[in-house]
Amino acid sequence: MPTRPRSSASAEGGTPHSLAVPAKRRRRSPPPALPRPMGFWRSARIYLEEFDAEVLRTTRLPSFILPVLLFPSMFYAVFVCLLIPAHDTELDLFWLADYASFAAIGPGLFAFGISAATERENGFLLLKRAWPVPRLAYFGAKLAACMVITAISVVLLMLVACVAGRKLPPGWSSLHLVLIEMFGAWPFSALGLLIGSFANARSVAGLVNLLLIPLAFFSGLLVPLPLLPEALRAAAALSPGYDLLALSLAAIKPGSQVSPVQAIMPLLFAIVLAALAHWRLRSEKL
Amino acid sequence: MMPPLQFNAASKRWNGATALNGLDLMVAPGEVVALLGRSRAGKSTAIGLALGLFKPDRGSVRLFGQAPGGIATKRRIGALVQHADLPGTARVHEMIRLVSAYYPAPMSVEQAASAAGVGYLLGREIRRLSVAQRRAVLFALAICGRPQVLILDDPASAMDLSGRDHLWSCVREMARNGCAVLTTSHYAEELEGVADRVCVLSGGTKVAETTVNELRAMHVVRRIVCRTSTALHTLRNLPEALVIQTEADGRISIETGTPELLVQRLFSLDPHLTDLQVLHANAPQIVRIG
Repeated sequence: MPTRPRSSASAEGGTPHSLAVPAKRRRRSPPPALPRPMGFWRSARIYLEEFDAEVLRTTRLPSFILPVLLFPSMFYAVFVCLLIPAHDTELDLFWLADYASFAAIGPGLFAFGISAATERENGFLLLKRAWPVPRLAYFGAKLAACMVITAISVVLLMLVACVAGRKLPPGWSSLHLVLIEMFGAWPFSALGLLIGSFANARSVAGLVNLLLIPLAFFSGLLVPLPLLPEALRAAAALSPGYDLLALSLAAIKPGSQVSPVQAIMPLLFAIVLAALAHWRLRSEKL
Repeated sequence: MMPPLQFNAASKRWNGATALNGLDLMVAPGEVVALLGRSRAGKSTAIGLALGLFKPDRGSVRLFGQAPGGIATKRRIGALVQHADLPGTARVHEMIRLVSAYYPAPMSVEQAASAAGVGYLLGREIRRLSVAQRRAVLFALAICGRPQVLILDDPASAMDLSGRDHLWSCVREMARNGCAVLTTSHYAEELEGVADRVCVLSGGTKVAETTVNELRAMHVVRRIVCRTSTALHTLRNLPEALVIQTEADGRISIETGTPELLVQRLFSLDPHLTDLQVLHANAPQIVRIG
């Protein structure tokens, strides 16, 4: 199709030639046409691109990905495989559920906490609000990446247990455990987002580290709840980790019961914390 | 016909302080309108309102006749906010590909990068780029969706002269293709040949809406820079001198409305005066006088 000659600026090499359009479109004030509607596949592509970008960003940060993936397995290897003799099947399954729940805490807390704080401070989140991206796509991609990391971390944990000769749950129960932990990452991701919505980017890593251990402790993940004083046991009920541990045990340990309240508590935590974070992030100004 | 972007007496307050006071402004298709003013004049607030990042306390802002902020409206605009950076671990082509996916009919990654002058940076990680290069990448992200309205907050900040030239020529080209552009800048000079209209803001209030040339004619302020042995307190007593500053290299900078008279007086005080330059006042100076 013939095009009109470039403008003088173009001749000097200053005009972006790739913006050149056919002659019939080059007029001063065409009426703004409605853009083509986004079809299903184009909309789905946004979610996939966001997920892809999130996974790439995450895997390029070894200081984040390695500790989050390996620490639960390392702790399990040291504190369970080396220190506790393998003779009790029930205890083996308890410790597996315990460390699997611990593995669900880190990815969300660190990934959301640090990235939200950094991206809020450098203005990237504001830019995201100006772009036509569904908010669910961005945070959903982050959440999906956290769930994948959690799943990998739990599978690694099972591999360590297997190598150490510990009792593993049967195939379906193992898969059930992985799925429980993947969804168990939700409340911690929401908590990470809430921390990232107000914390300073330089201090957020310290803050999350400071929170991780007490959170695990009060959930009964580091020390079993029956060994804790009564007051601390009561406080454990307020932690999403406590409910997650109960759900994990119910997934792999025959005879374990979980109340309906415990089943929805992690989701409730996630919704409340995410709503608080959303409110906090919306009040950000230029 | 409905203008693509319209402010109707839009006002915004932050913590009790007026950031924008009753702004009336319209941007037509193919038109470049620049918001000029000093820091805290209300430029970024106006941009934030246009992008739907927050709502006006009074008045309204309309994008294609609708309140900004909806996804369908955002698909028709390209945006660059002032204090924004990109994730350091992402590569340039990945960011452009990601943002292109948000739009229904985007440019190719190569097209957008080449238009913004960052074609040679496609494979580089964002954290390895200079501030000016990051700014250019952000501009590529603003135009990659072939927007009908382009909203830019200080897009050329931190860029060198050639970077600025490229950016503004690209903006002009977008406008020639029918895009309505609202931009902010601190420098009236760089908007010459780019902006069709200039809206000067001061303390959140519109103090003028005109062309760059008319603005200059309204406020003929020049800056005289020279190296002189005349004492600073003597210079301060000159009736023609409006604002006097000492530059980092030791030269004296004097703003004046009567440059010819001032130059004569400076030579009468110091016949051996050197490094004399007579410059146009930049936007903040114009605004201050205005």
